[in-house]
Amino acid sequence: MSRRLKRELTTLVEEKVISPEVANDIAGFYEKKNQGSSSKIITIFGVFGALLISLGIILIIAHNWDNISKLSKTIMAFIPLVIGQLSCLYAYLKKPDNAAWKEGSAGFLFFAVAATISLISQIYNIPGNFSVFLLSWMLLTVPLVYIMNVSLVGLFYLIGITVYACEKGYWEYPLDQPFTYWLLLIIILPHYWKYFKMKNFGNFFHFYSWSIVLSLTISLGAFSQSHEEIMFVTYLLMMGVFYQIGQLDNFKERSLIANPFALIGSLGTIFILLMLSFNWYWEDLSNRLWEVSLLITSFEFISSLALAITLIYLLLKRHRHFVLSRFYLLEAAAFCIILLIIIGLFNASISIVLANILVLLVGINTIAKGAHVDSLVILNYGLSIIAALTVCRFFDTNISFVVRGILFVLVGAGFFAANYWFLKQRNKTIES
Amino acid sequence: MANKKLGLILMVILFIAQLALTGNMIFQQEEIVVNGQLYKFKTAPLDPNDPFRGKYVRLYFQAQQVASEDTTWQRKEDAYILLDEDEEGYAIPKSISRQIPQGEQDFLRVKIRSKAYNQDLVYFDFPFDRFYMEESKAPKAEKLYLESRVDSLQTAYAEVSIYNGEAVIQDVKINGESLKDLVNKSN
Repeated sequence: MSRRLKRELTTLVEEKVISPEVANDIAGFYEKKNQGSSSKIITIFGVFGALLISLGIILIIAHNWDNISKLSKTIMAFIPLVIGQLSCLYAYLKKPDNAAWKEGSAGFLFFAVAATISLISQIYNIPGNFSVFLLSWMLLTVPLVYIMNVSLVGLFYLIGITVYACEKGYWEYPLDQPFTYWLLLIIILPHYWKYFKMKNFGNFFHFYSWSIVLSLTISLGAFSQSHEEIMFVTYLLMMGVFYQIGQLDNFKERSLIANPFALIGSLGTIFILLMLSFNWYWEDLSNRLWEVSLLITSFEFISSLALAITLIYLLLKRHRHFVLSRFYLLEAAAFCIILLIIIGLFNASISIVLANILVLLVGINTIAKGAHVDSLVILNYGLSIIAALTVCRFFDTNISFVVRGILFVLVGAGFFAANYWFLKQRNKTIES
Repeated sequence: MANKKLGLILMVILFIAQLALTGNMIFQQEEIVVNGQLYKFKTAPLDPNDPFRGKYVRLYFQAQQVASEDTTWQRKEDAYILLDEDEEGYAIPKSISRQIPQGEQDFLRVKIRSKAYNQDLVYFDFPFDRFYMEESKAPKAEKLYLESRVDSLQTAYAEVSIYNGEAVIQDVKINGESLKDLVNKSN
């Protein structure tokens, strides 16, 4: 408890504002609170300490020991692994309630497994395939999440499987669709679900939410092979599903930064809509020769179908009693784009115009939503969408600089006017 | 209590799996060394600006091509080469096929790189392309290697054990002397 608080409590007792018993209760309450926060600090430092030790061991991978025998080098290579395993055993048996011990030892073992595999590869000059190494590493360490009930390894695991998907789908040659990624993701989901069930919405839950959202966003593109135009729809539908998940009770009441589903779902939708407001997409779409049998068996189509069904289910569940004023056009943007794609196959020009009108309408709807729910942030978000659309059109349309300048002035003036009107309304409400 | 016992059993199984996988990596390599045949692969001259990357020697070999009339080879496709030796005792590829060769001759699994244009020739990559060295020795080894490149009397080659299509690189030598020993001598 701070000295200032002690002094204040003494003053309050002397002035007979509170009784000595109440003062003792208050002092006791803050003592307990500080203990809680100091044990959190120890956990954090414990985790950082384990991370630094783990990274130090990884750095040893770069060092070769030519002057000692292969057998000695092999024994040394196993040392980090054995130490990690023993410390995990110790934490599990003797310190089961100590988060610092469990998280630290499991984190150490996570990196020790990689270090040992890498050291053995160096000592024996084993040529490596990075994706195979990643897969082995992740599969050998993910059971720790469930056996020891630790979360840090789960976060590292999510990063690891994302890198695996990128390696197979973006970087390795020849490129391959990393279907194993989905199985790897399913492995970790029960641990995340446990946070929901136990209503444990602390820091690790937020880290997990962010990791899952970012992992899916980064990895989905790795599956694109032959129908890239449809992959945009897949992404839009996934963003739509994210947004709906972000409107569930467990997420809705939280701050933006604690609701990655809503935040990424919304920003992702706007970003893709803006990309689709350019000519190139619709020209590519209409010029392409589509083969139906290849299209309906492609990953892009099948995943889009599955996501569309999921999104319709979530939308119907949320808008069971449809109220127009509560409906947000952004939620149905993916379906609007599907309609525009069907139109675009016959006439690209109409679809280009309609796509731009769609973004404008989403912006206006967002402004209206901001005014309706009394949120300056949402109102300005809507204005930013319109401003972003204007900037995009700045680059690809053949209108004169004067007209472009006028458009920018109008958008800027719109920002001022909307914010001024909103604050004036708010002040009026407060005064009345 | 039962949960804790189950957790302990699962943890022990996991740890055994971790040790077993790394142990198996060693076992597979040692099996090749013990049961395999030693071959010498002549290395090709390297770009003098960057023959070393990081803490290992990037190896390039002369004999990475073989005659083949098959025009359907794809990049990164697995293939098997039959090995022979030239008059100087260096390994050379004799033929290439998609199936594992039958018989007692030594063969090696390789990856196709490309097909020559207008020639019945196919290029491939060996599975062994790097040799790890201690970081403080790498610059000295680089100097010795470059000297061997310009001196036609010096020949650099890699000693590789081959067994059942798999290979383990044992050493890199210049004129019969290990690169590591040459570096130690020059200190």
